[in-house]
Amino acid sequence: MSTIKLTVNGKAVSVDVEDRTLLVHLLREHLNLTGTHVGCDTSQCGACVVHIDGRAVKSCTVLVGQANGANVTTIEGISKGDELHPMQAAFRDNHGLQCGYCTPGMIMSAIDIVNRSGGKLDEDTVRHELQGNICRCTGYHNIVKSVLDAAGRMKVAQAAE
Amino acid sequence: MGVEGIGASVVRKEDRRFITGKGRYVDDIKLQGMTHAHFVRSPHAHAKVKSIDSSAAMKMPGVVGVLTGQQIVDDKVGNLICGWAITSKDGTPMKMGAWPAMAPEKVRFGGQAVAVVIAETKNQAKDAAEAVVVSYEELPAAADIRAAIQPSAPQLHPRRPAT
Repeated sequence: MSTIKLTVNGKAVSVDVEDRTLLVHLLREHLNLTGTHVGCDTSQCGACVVHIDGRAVKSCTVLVGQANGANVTTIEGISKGDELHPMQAAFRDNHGLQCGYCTPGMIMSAIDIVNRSGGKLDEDTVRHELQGNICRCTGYHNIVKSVLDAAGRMKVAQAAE
Repeated sequence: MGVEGIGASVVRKEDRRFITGKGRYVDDIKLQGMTHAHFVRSPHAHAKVKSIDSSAAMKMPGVVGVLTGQQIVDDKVGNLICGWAITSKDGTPMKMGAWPAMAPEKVRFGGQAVAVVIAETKNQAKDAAEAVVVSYEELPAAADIRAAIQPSAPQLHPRRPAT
């Protein structure tokens, strides 16, 4: 057992957990943030993607000890009150989800893709960089559309800040 | 854009909770006093289950019970249902073996469940599952399609040959 201290969605958190606990289980079971999903047990599907210190990471592959002292953002932490993040809005507007299970991971990965794109993003790059996120429902077509749409919105939002 | 009625796009109603992480999938549900299950699975692709000893597991912290495939048979729960009753070109119904939720006597694929541990926490169930002792008698397995279609290939379902 260890005491893990970290920041989750802006709030300081301290939990006593078994050392074998994965970050995804810390979030889901101990902090009741069930938006981050477990999809595969094999680190392939990406339903568990969160941001650790600003970068997309599969939380099913992180032991809590590795996240000690880190700044974690989950799907629950990206909107500002009632105002959706541009990526969330883009998924809604472009029918980028059906059952919704892969969606939090897709959104978190996609935000990271846009953040690293240097303002230029094309379909091939999005498809390549989303290889770590699997979707069983949509066939990816509208997910890619959502990401490209959001990239444009995020550029406008950044320019306005 | 601007179309109303027939031909207009209709925005889904359910997306808000999914894009904000507030969906309620089965594993998201937490009930007061709920227990957790962890399955004991066969490491062999084809084997007879000779015995299951759960006595050590039952003594471990938080363990509520250990259930086996044989108990499913004894309690007359019934098998998993195949919902796709297709026929061959000549009308003969699809050949289908029986699929129990957990294997009572014979394991037919690597990873098939033979027992399940119920405990107060997931970790307690996982730890107790490792203490369940299963004795197997390995049987020959066909591990690729060419081997599986040979007439001499091991048969999975004795009452439905060549499934």
